[in-house]
Amino acid sequence: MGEVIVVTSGKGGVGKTTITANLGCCLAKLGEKVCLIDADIGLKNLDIVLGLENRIIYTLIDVVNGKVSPQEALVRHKIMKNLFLLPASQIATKEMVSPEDMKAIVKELSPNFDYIIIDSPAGIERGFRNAVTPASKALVVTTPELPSISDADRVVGLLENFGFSDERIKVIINRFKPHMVKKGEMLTAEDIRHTLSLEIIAVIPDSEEVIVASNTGVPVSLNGSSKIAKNFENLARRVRGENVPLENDFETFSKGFITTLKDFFSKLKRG
Amino acid sequence: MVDFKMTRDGLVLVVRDYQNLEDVLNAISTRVTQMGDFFARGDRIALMIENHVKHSQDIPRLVAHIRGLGLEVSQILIGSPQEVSEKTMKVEVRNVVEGVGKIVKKTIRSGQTVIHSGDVVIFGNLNRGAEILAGGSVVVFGKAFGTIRAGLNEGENAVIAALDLQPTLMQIAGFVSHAKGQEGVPSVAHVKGNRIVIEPFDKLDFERSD
Ligand SMILES: Nc1ncnc2c1ncn2[C@@H]1O[C@H](COP(=O)(O)OP(=O)(O)O)[C@@H](O)[C@H]1O
Ligand SMILES: [Mg+2]
Repeated sequence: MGEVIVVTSGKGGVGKTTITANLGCCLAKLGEKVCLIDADIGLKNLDIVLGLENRIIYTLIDVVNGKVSPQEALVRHKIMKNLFLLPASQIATKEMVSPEDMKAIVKELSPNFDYIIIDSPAGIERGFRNAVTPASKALVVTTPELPSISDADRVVGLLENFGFSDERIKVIINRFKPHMVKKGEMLTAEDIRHTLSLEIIAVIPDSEEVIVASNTGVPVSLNGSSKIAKNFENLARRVRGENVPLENDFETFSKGFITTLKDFFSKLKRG
Repeated sequence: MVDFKMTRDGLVLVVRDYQNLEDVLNAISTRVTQMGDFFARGDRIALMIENHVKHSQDIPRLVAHIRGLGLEVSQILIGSPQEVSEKTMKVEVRNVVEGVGKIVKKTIRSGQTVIHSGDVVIFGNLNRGAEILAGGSVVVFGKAFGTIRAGLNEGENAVIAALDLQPTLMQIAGFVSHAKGQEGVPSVAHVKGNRIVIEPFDKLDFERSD
């Protein structure tokens, strides 16, 4: 039985789709069989970020309508042969899918996979319930600004209402800019962990590599020369239960920031 | 026992003081059915409960019941049904923390509400955007950033205490304050001389100045 993880956030545009795609690639690279489910219809869909938009034949809606089985709707990744996508439909509205539908689909797929990762809409949006219901773990993505964290806090409250205990909810800090922490313009991981009272599973820097990659349809983690790829690999290893210190997430940053990061991390340890 | 009132803020379901919750739930079902297709699924209404403090432990069930009928409760109005007006206090209902007794061993998050007719003790933080409604006193063993309303039942003898008292808004009985305690210093807010004062825990003076 595969582990079912939902990637969600309080507000949109914080990096859920990017993280879902790269986490999927990294888990697949580590030899896991992975299925990604697109439960969000955003600006840049999971299929585009993965470069699979031209290979879609069936979508989630065709599965819900009983036209095809979940397996038949899956699209295999071009490079990673053990990575699959269940695409979202662009035309269908989210009300056409119910949480029960999602549960049934995930249940049918789960024996064939090590991980099923669901790209969810933000907590305030429709379709959130669909994405969350089948999952047993949640990754909440936030950027390090106060409004985003407050929204993350709200989504954690919603997850609690859906029966998630706090141990099953982990936080990912995305688009972290170390020079802003230095100037005191950005919240540290310590601040964020205190506010949310939850474990931080990964810190991912703000990087142009991500934007370039999402335009080419090859996730950064599949690009050998990418620096940020290591951050996604760290996340994937932690998801698998490996003990990778959070400190390692800062190796990506240039030497000039080392002092800041040491400080950042020592605070984190104390807290 | 239950009735709908149209106000500037939209439709308010007024529940008069009652003895038996089951009767009220049945009455609500009947009333909503009577109104037939006046409502669309997911319509938002406000809820006013007469003597809400006495019935505060029923609020989660009332809200759940109304939701079961296909309506969403957007806010709870506090005050008397005679004065459904600007004077009534409004409480946004997002998600009420279930199974609330006097002691809550968790952080109350943005959008969550704790409602209890007596004293409330939180072991955890009260985050921004979270709210406590207590008939009696409130103690937060953690940082309090959200909204705290105390003494709704007990009146101005109720107190509010926190290890770090930085609330968005505090209310004790009819008194409201936006003041904050000294950062990082366990503090107590109480009513003294017709206003809310905040004092550090070790310099506490409950004596009335009036
Ligand atoms: N770590 C990052 N550094 C730079 N840009 C990022 C990062 N993560 C996401 N982005 C960009 O932010 C935008 C929104 O990301 P996306 O993953 O689509 O968010 P969501 O799925 O939460 O709406 C995209 O243009 C994406 O390329
Ligand atoms: Mg998205």
